[in-house]
Amino acid sequence: MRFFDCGAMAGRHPVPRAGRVASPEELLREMDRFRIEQSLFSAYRFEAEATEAMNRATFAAARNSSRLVPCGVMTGAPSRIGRTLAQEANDLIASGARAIRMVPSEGPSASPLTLRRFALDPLLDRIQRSATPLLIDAAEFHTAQGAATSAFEQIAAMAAGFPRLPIVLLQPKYNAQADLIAVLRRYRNVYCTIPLLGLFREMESLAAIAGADRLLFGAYLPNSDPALPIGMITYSKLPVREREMIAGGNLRRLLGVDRGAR
Amino acid sequence: MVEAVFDGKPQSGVFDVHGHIEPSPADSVWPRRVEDLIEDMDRCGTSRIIVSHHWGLAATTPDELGKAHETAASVAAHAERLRAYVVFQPHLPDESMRQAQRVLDAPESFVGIKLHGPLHQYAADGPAYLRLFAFANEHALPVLFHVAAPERSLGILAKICESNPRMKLILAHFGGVPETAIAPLLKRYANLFIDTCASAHGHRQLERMVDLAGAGQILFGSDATYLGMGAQVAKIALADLSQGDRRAIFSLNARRVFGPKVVP
Repeated sequence: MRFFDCGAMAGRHPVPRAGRVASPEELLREMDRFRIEQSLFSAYRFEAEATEAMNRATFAAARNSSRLVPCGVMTGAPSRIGRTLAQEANDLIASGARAIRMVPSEGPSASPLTLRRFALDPLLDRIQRSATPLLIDAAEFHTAQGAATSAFEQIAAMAAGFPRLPIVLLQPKYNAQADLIAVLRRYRNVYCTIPLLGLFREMESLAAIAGADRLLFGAYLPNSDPALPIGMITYSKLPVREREMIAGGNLRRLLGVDRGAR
Repeated sequence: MVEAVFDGKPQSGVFDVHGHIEPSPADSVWPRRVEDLIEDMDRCGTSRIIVSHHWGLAATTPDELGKAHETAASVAAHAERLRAYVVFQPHLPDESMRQAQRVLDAPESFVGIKLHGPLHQYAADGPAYLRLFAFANEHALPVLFHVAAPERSLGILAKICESNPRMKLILAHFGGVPETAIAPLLKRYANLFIDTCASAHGHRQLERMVDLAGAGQILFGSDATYLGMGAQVAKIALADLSQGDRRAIFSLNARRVFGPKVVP
């Protein structure tokens, strides 16, 4: 089984986190331990202009190891006067980003991530042209705050408006199943990672309903233990071919990469 | 253990202290039948499981609670794989106490008692629970307890362990609190245990737990057919722990709690 992790992050936070993965080197060690061949990776920083620092660190890590496939990060707002989100996305893709991840601003008074189309349409149009996957953290979609600005309503609107844009929901929770099933059924360009879909045979049922080609292995590092999604896949009752697709084949296809890692 | 996970091969002799069954349609999005459970046990290498019946948790009348405990029939049909908990419904205290007697009358089927505080919205030191704890203490029974508001109940749990030293109290889901909060209680009370099932599992959470409190009071639980079994098995098998610690969590500790007649 060739595991390709969708959406790992590594970096330090001012509040020490249990089970942290503080650097790309630590991430690579964990990938070795869990036999994860490659990771669609973003560095993490907590600072002003954090996304610029994160992207610099991501590309630097990717230059050091081909196992770390760079995923650029953006917030819903441009970081420089006179620049647009579309221009920032253009620069990330030109620099080698294979996907783009929307990340929220952080801090006690930070506003939640916004995924409203009036803010994002030019960006979505740009990345659809290159079929660059857009990654969105869905772990908090079920909260009241998330539901207002960045939840399934916005995902549905984006997926309908940009049908050739692959939209990857990172770690939706098992209790978001109703919305998840609906959006997967209705929009063929929506995908999701599996680490928090832990109900009994939930992954198998989603594969039966929406297709195994829509599900992606995500270890959810550094927040979660990779053993869970690994066990979901290796002990699944799905056929081997579908397990291999979920473990890494689907993500390789989305990113247009299919080669052994150095 | 590690190779088995990556090859999708069964582990050996896993004993699961936290399971559920309930009839469900064969094409259910969320299957919960005993047949589904056993099929996944076979794939993961879980040789035995102790289950409680969803109907017992959902019972609203004494009659419903009594019927739920006809799970004995399911257990008898799969005697080599299944044992059952009596479900204690604190809002039906008298019938629950009557059902608890099954652990003494039919120990070949019922081997402990299950409490679900969040579902029943019942405090850890509510009078019905205290009555049950006294019964469990008198007969040295295991009690699997999913605690409501666990972060506010640690002091109460300490008192319960202290007042009922012969009862074996198993807190579901790592006790529902950070490992730094539950570890001191585990170290203080030899009759307190935790099980390992959870829908989310922090990076290296089990390793931190063992580091703080040792592996001797940690029991493997899957929560299947609520949660999937493969993920729960893998997180023990792939943990950065000694083979001995993983084997203890997978089965040896449960043997101490439930006795060799229950554990293969």
